[in-house]
Formats: sequence, C-alpha cells, structure tokens
Amino acid sequence: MTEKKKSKIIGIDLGTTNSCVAVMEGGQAKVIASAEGTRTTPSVVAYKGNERLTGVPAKRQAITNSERTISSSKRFIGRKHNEVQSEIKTVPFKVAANDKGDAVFEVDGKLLTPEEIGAAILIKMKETAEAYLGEPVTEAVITVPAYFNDSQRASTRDAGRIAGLDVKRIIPEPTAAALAYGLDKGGDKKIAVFDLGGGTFDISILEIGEGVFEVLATNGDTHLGGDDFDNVIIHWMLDEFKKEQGIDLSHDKMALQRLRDAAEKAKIELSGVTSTEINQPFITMDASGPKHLALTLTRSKLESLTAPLVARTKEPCLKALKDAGLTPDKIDEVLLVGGMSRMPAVQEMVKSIFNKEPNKGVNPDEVVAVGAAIQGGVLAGDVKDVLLLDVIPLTLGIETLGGVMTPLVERNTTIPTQKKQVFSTAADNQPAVTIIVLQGERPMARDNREIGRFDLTDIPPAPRGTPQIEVAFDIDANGILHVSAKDLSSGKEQKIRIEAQSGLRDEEIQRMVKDAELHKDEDRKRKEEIDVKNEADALVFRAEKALKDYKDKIPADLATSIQRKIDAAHEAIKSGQIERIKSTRNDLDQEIQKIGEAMKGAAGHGPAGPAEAPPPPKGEDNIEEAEVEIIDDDDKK
Amino acid sequence: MTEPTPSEEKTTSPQDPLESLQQELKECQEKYLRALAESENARKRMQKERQEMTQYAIENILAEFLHPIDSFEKALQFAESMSPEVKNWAVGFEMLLNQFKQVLSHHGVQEYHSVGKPFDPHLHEAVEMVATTEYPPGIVVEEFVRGYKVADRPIRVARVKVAKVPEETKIEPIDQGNHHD
Repeated sequence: MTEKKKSKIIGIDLGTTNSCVAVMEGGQAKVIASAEGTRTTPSVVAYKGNERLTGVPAKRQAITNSERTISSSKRFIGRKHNEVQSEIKTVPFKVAANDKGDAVFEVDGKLLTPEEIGAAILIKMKETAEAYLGEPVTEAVITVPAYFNDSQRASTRDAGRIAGLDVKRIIPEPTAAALAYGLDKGGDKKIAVFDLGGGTFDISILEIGEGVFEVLATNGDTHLGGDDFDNVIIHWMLDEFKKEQGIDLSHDKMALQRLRDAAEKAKIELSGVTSTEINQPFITMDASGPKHLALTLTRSKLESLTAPLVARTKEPCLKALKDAGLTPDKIDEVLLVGGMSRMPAVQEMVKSIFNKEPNKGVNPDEVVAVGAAIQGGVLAGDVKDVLLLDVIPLTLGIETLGGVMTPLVERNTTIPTQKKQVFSTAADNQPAVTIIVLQGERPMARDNREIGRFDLTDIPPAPRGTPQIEVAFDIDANGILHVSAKDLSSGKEQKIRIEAQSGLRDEEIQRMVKDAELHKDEDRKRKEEIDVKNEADALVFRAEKALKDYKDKIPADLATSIQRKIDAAHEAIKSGQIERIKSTRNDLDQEIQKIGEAMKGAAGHGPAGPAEAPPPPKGEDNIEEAEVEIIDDDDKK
Repeated sequence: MTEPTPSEEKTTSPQDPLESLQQELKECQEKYLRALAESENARKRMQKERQEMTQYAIENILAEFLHPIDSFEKALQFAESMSPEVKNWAVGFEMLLNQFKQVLSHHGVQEYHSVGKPFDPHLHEAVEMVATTEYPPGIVVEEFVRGYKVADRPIRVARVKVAKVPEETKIEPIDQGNHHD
C-alpha cells in the first residue's frame, strides 16, 4: 500500500524578497508555515565559515556579515554579468562574472551561482513541506515572473534540481494567481494581474482559452514595493519629531529600528482603519528629560505621503495594456497579488486604471504559492479525484421534543457520510415514534423544510427515556439520503430513502442560510424557552418518580412540600411563562435535593453513603424528549 | 477513468469484460485505500497542527505584551540619571515590571541576556555593528531589545549591537606588512 502511494507535488513561490510553499490537501491548497512559525520565508542566504544560513536567521545576521549575505538573488538568476550592472549597485555583496559571463556571487573568494542560492531557498521550502507532510517531497512546481526568458527559467529549473527537486513545471506567477482564483475554468478571458510585493512591481496581462494561459504583455518597476512605503512613513515620523522636539533621530539606530517597526505596523493597520496612533515612549532623551514620540497617522495623510509611489504603478499598467493591444474595458478580471496590494489607495488606483473592482479573495502574499500548489495537484491527479466529492448544502436533522430541530449532519459536510445518534421516548409506554426529517439551518423544526417522515411502531412498553432508538442518516455519493430508525432492544427497524434532497436551487439554499442568520437572535431565544420547558418537564417527571419509588423513606411533610412544588411547576409549564417556569423549576430542584439528605439521616448507613438513594436529581439533566429523546449525544459534549 | 483508454483497447482486443471489471475494481480499491490513507494522514496532521496552534496562539498574545514591557524597561533606564525622588518612584515601578515578568515566566516565557555572548542569528537580530576593543569581534555589546524564549525556542529574538574590529587596529598590522587581511 505504502509503496504505491504517490508523493505530493508541492508549489513554491520563489520570490525576490520572500518565498512561500503550499500543497494540495483534501482538494484545498494549504500554505505551510515554516519551523519559525511564519507562512513566508525571506529569500536570504548567508555564509559564515562552513555554515550556511537560510531564511529568517540569515536575514537577522545580514548587517554583521553583509558581504556574505545574499538577498534578491532572483534579480541575478540566469542573467549575464553585463546585464545586471544597475542591480549590482544596489546590493552590498560582490557580483562577479564567471568564465561564461554569467552573473555570479563572490563569497570569500569562491564563486556561487544564483542557482545555488535559489537552491538553498528551495531546500528550506522543501524541508518546511516535508516537516508538515511527514514524508519526503521530491517533486515541485515553481513560479517565475512572466517576463523571465528561457535562460532565467532554465536556471530556476536548475536551482530546483540542485535542491533535489524534480521540477514538474515552471509556471508564470500571474498564471499561478489566476489558477488560485479558479479562472482556468469557464470560458475565454483576459486577465490583468497586479503584483505589488516587498520590492518589485509587476503587471501582467494574460489571455486564457480552453485552460491554456498566454501572457500577452508584462511591465513593471523592478524597484518599487512595500519597503518604499515604510521608508516614506519613517521619514515623516522623523520630520514630525524634529519639528516638535528639535531632535534628529535619523542617526540613532535603536530609535530608527523602533520607528521601522512602528511604520510597518501603522501601514498595515491603516488598510483596515482610517486612523492609527503611533506611540513610542522614551524614544530618546536630552538635558530636559525623556522624550516621547506620539503621533496620529490618518489614512488620508498616509495616502498623500505615498501618492507618488502609488502613481508609479499607473504608467506600467497603461504600457502593458497598449502592448497587449487592449483597452481597459476588454479586461474581464483584475487580480491583486503582493502584500502592498492590500492598501486601499493601491486598490483605488487599480480600479481607476482598469475600470473594475479587483478580485481579492485570496491572501495576496500566498496566492502565487497557492496557484503553484493547484498546478501541482493537477499534475499529480489529486485535483481531479477530489472534484468528484460533493458537500450537502443544508443541515439535515430530525424534530425532537418541543418542536426542536436536532441536526445530525451539518451543512457543508463532504459526502458520502453517515451519522448515527440514539434517541428515546418522551412518555411512559410510548408505543411509537415519528421521525420527521428536516432540512435547514433554523433551530426550530417548523422553520425548516420537512423532506420526509415515517413512524417506528411496536416499541415495547417502557418508562420514558428508557428505549434506545438509533437514528441513522446515510448520504451516499449521489446525494441520496437514507434515514433509518431502529429500536435497539427489539431490533425492529424502519427506514426511508429521500432522493436528491428536494432539488433546491442555489438561490433557495442561499436564502435559507441567510434566513437563519437573520433570525438568529429570536431563534436562540425560542430555543432557550423550549429548553427551559423541557428541563422543567423532565425534573417534574423525576420528582414524581422519586416520590413514588421512595414513598416509605420520605418524611410525610417533605413529600407534601415536594408535591406542592411539583404542582406549581406543572402550572407554570402550562402557563408557558418562561420566568415562572424557571423559578418553579429551581424551587423544585432544591426541594428534591432534600430527599437524599432525609434518607441518609433515616437509613443511618453512616459514611458509606446512601446506597439506595434516589438518582441524583441533576444526573440526567438536559434530556430532550418528545417524539424522540436524546440519551446519547456525543456531538454536544 | 472507468472507460478503457484507446491504447488499452488495441492491446487486449477484444476487450474481456471480466478483465476490464477486474481492472476497474483494482483501480477503485487503489483509489479507496489512497483516500483512506490521505484522510488518516490529514487527521494526524490536523491534530498536530491544532496543538501547535494553541501553543502559538498563547505565545503570540504573550509576545504582544513584550512590546510595552520593552518600553517600561526603557523608561526605567532613563530614570537612572534622574533625581533621588524620581529614582525612588522608579524602584516601585521596577517591582511592577517584575510582576509583569513573573506572569510571563509562569507561562514558560523567560528572558535571556545577550550582552557578552557571541552573536547567534538564531537568538539575535543584528541592528548595528560597533567598532570596539572592549569586546572581541562578533560579541554582543548592547541589547536594544531583550530576547525571550519558551524552553529553547525564542518567541522574540533580542535586537543587538555587535562588536567589530576597529578600523585603526585593523589597518595597523597592514602598515607593518606583517599580516594579510
């Protein structure tokens, strides 16, 4: 069995600043967190003596070891040394040319290829996936920017090979994003993918037809991203502080570090709220005492500060459209990728360029890895298999005491499935139970849809709550529901088959789900009332039983007072007044506790305890009774 | 999936219905076992993940408290250069700070000291390098922000200043021509 098991194909977004890995699991792409607990890993590799560090630790030591810490290696992969002159100026490590003229990194006099650096990152992603899956991973789908040429793609593939991965496919990042949004299904479309990440901005125009993607045009800005936005905020804070306190913090590394954290936090917060407080107490000190930084940054202020950065995305978009030979109205879908695309001003810009609301359902930091994992799943054959599975659209259950809907199979349960629950009778010597099968989300039976009913008869006479009636819901792969009820003592069974679950249309399902949401409060109240009534009823029943069973052992005056409380509870239940029922129930509850005490004293058994005491009054609380009564309910515990 | 592919048809024509059914059964069984194994594995993974998530959730909340605690410590550092009166207050506030730290330590969160220890990227984040002869190169000379860990795993690494060789001492031996850099 195990040797036949296919291993998973993971999806890796090998990014310029951060990388991300995902895998298909049960039909869903799952992003895997690293050992450090983060869902993305910095694309940084560092060398220190014989040690190689990858990801977070490499980033942390960068400043102590800048010449041996390689970041942004993606900017160099598959490129000639003479092509990357401008990039070389932006990095603190040495970039050299090997004998073929390729750009390589020089660390301690040794040449390291960008493929090796990429491989180190891929190994880290592979290990992350392996730790999660608990099995070796050998196959992967890796994404590259749409503008990568053959040489860059081949080099990325080589990086995978060095990492010990069989690279099943190299796919463009915007294609992966489109896959993550499920845009490969349903007709021909033109898609714009707007990717504003940590350090680069890419815009791609894709065309999709019959499941085949074609990149029509790409454009972008290789040095525009989240870090630029952070820097703008930091500068603003420095300026404000200087204005207020006359102190320049720009040379205070510790203060700068705190401001950097505060800037990123403020930026993220302002995507959700319109104003945020930046508080950095004791940021510095002068002769007059400690100084605090307290600023309020509003979203509109942030937007005016970063407007020049946001504006820089416009030109590339227009150029890409022009290169694709399209006008904005020809674009069917716009997708947002990269953390910075969460910023409302960026989304507004996208909207104004393409004249439509962008898609943003999938986490933009993870959408590319998710798409890669989906591609991996398709190649492994996982996705096709999983699509065969369906879910039930609405909850299925039966009616129980007091007209309550007791769910057996919750909505969105994947079928085929089977659920069993044991119920009981609500009255002494009850000869039959009626099983009313319900569909819907409301707690009261009458608000749901009845999709079938049947009787289970000839139940042998027994006190209420004693018979065990097992109700089973079995939904097969075709969505056909089989409901059976079986008296476990006599073995008598009755069942029905309900086809296609009433054939509700989508909008009906939506309405029923929405209704449930709408009536949540009143439903809950009503359900509570029924619960109180049922509890009181059960308590009265137990009290009466105790009075009868232990007639000889209960002092006459106690018996009378209990009987009075029982009558009061009866009256209250009949009246239907919830508060009254509650108070009489509590009275009765306290009163019957005295039975045990009275008997203990009378019997004189000593510390051994009341061996013949009545069942503890609280013991079988919360029993639902009626047509049927729950006596064994695992779900609710 | 259930229909024979054209190539199969050619090799085993005419198709034996028994054989094709057997084949189909085999495929179904295989698929069933795979699905079963997958769901079992997913269940195990979920269990593990849930445990980790609970752990992370607690740690994340505790880690958020570290930020105000940092500010608190910073404030107390400033108090050292203040008047005796302020210092007296500071003593009380120091006790308050310790109460916070006790809460953390009850939940297994311990602070660790970094000054004088070799820089370790698994425990420290370097913010600045400083030329000094006071400490050997590669040693942490100052803590900007203290590190905290649960058992051996840091939940927030320390932010530190790391010693490097001062320029003058580095240049001197070269002038003498005795050393290679």
